[in-house]
Amino acid sequence: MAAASAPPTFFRGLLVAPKRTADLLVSLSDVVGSRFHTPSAMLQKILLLADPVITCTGERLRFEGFSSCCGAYARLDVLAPALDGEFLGVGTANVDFNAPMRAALSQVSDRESLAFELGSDRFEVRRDSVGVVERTVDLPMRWVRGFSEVQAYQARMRPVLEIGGAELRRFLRELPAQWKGDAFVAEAAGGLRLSARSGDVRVGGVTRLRALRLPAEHAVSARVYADDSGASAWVIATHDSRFVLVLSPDVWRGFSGEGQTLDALARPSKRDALAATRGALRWQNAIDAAEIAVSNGIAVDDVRTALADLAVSGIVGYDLAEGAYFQRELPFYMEASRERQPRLRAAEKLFAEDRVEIEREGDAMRAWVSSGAVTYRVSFAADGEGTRCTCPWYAKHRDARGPCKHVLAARLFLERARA
Amino acid sequence: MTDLEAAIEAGDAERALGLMSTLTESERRALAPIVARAHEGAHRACQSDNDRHKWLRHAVSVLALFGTATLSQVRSCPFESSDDRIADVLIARRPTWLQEWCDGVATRHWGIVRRIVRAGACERRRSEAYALGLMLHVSRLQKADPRHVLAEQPELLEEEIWDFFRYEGVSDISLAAMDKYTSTDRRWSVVLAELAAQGKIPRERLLDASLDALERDFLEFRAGWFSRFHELLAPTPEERATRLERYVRLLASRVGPTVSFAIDALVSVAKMGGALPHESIAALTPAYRAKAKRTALAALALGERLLEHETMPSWHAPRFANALEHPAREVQVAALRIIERFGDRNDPTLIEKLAAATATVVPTLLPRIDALMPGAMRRNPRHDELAIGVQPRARASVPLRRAPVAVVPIASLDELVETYGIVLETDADPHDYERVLAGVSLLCAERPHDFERITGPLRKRVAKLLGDNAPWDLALPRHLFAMLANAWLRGELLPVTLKEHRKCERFLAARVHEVAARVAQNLAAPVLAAPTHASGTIDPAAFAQRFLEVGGDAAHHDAIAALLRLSADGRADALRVVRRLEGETAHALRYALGDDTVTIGADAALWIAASRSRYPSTADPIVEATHPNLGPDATRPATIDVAWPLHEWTAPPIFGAEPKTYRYHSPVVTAHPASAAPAPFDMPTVAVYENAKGAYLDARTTAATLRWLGTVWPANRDGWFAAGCMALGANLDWSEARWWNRAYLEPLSDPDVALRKGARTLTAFALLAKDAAEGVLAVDGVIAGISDSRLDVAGLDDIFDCVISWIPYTKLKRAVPRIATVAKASPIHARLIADAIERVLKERAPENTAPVRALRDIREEILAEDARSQRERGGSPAENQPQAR
Repeated sequence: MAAASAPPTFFRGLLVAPKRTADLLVSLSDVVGSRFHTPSAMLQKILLLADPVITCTGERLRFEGFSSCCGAYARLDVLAPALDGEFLGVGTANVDFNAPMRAALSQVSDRESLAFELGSDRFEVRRDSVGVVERTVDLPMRWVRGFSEVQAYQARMRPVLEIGGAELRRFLRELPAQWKGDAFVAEAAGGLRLSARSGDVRVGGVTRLRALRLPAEHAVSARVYADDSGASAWVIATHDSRFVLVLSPDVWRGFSGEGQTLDALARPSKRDALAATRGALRWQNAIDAAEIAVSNGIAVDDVRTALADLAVSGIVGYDLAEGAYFQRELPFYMEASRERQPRLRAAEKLFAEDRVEIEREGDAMRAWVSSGAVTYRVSFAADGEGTRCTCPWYAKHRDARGPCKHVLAARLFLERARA
Repeated sequence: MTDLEAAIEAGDAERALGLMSTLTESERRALAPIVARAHEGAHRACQSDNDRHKWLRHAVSVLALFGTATLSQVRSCPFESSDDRIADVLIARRPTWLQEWCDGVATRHWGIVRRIVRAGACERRRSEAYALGLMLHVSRLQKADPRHVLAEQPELLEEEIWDFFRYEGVSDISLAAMDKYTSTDRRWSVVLAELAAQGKIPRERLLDASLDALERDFLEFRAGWFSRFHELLAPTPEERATRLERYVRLLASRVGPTVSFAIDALVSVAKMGGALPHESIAALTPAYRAKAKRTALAALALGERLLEHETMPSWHAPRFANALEHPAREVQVAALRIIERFGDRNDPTLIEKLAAATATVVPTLLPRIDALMPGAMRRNPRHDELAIGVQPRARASVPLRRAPVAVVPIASLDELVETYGIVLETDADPHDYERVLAGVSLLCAERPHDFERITGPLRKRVAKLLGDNAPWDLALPRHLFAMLANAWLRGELLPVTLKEHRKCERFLAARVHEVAARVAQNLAAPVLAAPTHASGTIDPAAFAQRFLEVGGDAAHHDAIAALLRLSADGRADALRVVRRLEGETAHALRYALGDDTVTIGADAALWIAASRSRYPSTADPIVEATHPNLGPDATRPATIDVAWPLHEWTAPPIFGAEPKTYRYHSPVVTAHPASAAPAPFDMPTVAVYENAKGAYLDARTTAATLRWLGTVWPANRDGWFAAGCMALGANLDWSEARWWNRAYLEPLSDPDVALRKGARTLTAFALLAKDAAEGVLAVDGVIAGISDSRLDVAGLDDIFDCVISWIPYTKLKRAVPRIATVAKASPIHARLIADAIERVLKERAPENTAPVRALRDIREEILAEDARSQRERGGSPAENQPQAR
């Protein structure tokens, strides 16, 4: 009987600037260990998740994780210049990050030697001669949904602000410890200014930015990305690493429940484009959609759609700094993601029970969706965008948290009818 | 009934213990189901009863359960930590799961676990749960004095105590948390220091253990206990000297107070003539940016001292450029002096750092940095944009206004149902309230064949809202619109009851109720007061048209609201349309539009509204003659003043203690002219000043309600701002979380809102408020006000005059950084702020305290920046001085 082969090792080596990388990793661990919002129903049962996902792509290490409330996503990209070692393979692992690991990474000085070893089953940190090993753990279910959602947000963000490290530090130093409601960040002389009325970037739960204070100590520059939803991403560049913090539109909104991927999950994929794109993945740090399109003879938009679908499946992530997707494989699959979406399940049930009725009047089209004793009206704008519903969910969130189950049911009906 | 059951029933613990003492484990397990039932019965019986026997029975049933049950049964059984007999039962029984159970309850029931451990029935585990359990156990003792436990069990000093330094603790259980809520003499820190002084615990080990804990990345609050404890032990110079390297290591901590502690320790060593290790030069670098100014200055002094003994000090000089990012001017000055003393002007690293620092350094230091850098200075472009001497723009005679944005009325039933949902589910925009009110009023008679289906979702939601909640549980707008929908969809008119003092809210409610009464009868009509423009105003022509449609049936409150919202533009044209209309309401409208031929009627509320509509900020002697002495903003414009009388409050005696009297100053906003009697709620312009006296401190007010109230009289919001002054002023130190008060500050940034006395006074309050968001909203308002010329030199002087004259009662240091932020908005803002500071300090001549000096510094930096930019542009600063007032 052949001996079982040892789990593969992806990276083994020293850190060039131990203090900087250790501080950044501790900051990521801080985000992962934080709960910025505690829903009242959760007060008695606080989950503390602290298990970053680590990906080795052959020339860099990426550490990703969510806060316990799932409203903040942090990623540390340790780039090649920060590492002095061997890249032995590519792959993803998610490991527990507990107190001994944090202790090993805290108060590191550049005079010390700090080494990482990442394998498919473990992550080891050696500080001088003392080592701490963390083993792989299961990916929490909320993170699985969060990873899908956060990619959808990032892919549509655009850069809105760019500042130097000193300016960022000054801004973060002046950030209040307590703030409720909307806040805006505006450019001002000498850096950034917080505003309550208007600015370049809207930041919900602005005190969450305090998680950037330690990374900012090493910042050379920073760039802020945002989209129309109110989510924002803060990318800090150091001499050899990047620290990314993506904040949900409001402190009480976890990425796991945002519903940004529901549309993608509800529509049938173009199988050819999906297969070709999947086949073109080679653990790239920046996936070139145009190149895949040309080499496979398919439209670039189809490749982009396929990448978005793969992001929902956890196979690729989005890197704002590169403006492109990168490969990393999370241990779950597309069908599983569909099953984990309660709204989509409810919509499929409505559709299956024949609760959708379509009404056309000239160019205008609306759907009546019966749910319980009430019939909700779903109105489609002439251009197909801006669908509205008369249910309380839509009234409360409109499009901000993805479509409601009635809109999804109506879309499922139309998609199937078209097919 | 078994003997054990009988003992439980009788509440006889002795007998139950005796019976169990002779049982084998299998006999115990056989009895377990019976005991579990007896325990359940006893537990249920004492839930709603204080009968002593029932509680005794329950206590005995618990003992019996521990003596017979399985681990899972025991785990689900609630019990008292203080009942030592539980430990005795378990010691006698020694079940196989005892260790596992002890590990699980070590924190919450440490006393029982400890008794079992001492009896040798299970081993003591070194765990965080066990260590925290000891802390919790002591805090639950009658006097919560650790001395008693330590005297009783001196062996705790051997091991258990040291685990306190190893584990961080959790939110409510940690050394920091325990000591915070304990009287000084019973604190763990005091007791441990006392034991060390008595030689009962090794002092050296305590010193080291506290430093070990500080290296463990604990949270700031918990780490603070260890640094304070270390200092409480008062280390001697020798003890500090032997721990020098450890203090240096702590400089890398990300906990600010730990860095300050380490710096203090190093300073005391240095003062005693001790030599700091060489690696301190590098280790000190992060401390130059320490948040605490004192720490940064001390670190710089230490760094300078180290450089004095270096053979190549210039090599280390660039490290000090880190301090040029510090917000405190003194720190920047100290750092620059060291760089000037030791820096090499040809060192590219230093030059690069200095160039980067020009983005953050105060302008008065820029010439010195220029002198250190040969050639052109690389600056942040934004910094240069600021540094130009631009004249403040002359104040426009009319404040800049946005192009009018029309409010789009709701046109269909579909749209009405959708928007109604938004109004019920969210804190909607006030315009949506008005659009829905107008939409229901106009479309209520429409009954298409699928009306039931279209309105079904709304019907269901309203039924739930009204069924699940008492009216006072809903925010006012939600309550009113649920009531309105009920009238529309079910033809049922519900009453709206609001407390007498909530006058302005009662005005809104009366308006909605008027519409609901009509809608309940399916009588469609336009709402007079629906704004036609986003500024909250009504185009007079549209008003006249609506008035013609309504005829003589104009509702009282709707007419008042409409008059107060009339736009100033286009009144003459509208007057031509309604000139021949008769009736008191028509006459009031004609008067508001400028018709002097009408006779002033008897309805005071209607005529006050017409008067204020026509003369928003001047006196109206014509209406005054008929309706005199009705109060501020009735027929004469209101003025307000703020006084800070001394208040006294004596706390009732608690637990026999002496009653304590508190004295404090609290603002009182007074409006003039005073009214002879309280204003009725249908005079909202007058009644709002009664809110200013404190009525709006009602806890049920919401931001959405306040925003809606702010639209009652868009031409003059001074009364509303005055109410805001009272609301903010009474909570300046954020003694209660009144988040909704921010709504008062939001319109300060609105270009359509005039910044008169009320708004300026409110801005001064917000600049001095503890709440960061209130301060930021004030900053937003001042920046916007200066940018669009709503706030001129006189306006700024008003704000500064309040801020400085209130120094004895408020905290000026809160306003200083906010004023500095305004000054950074543009050169115009900077110059206006500098001038205002100069004038107010000259006129008020306040005592030269630190915040006043900081205010002077702001002015000096602005002037320095201006002078520098003028030099760079080749002009003279004097040429571009703004005109003195």
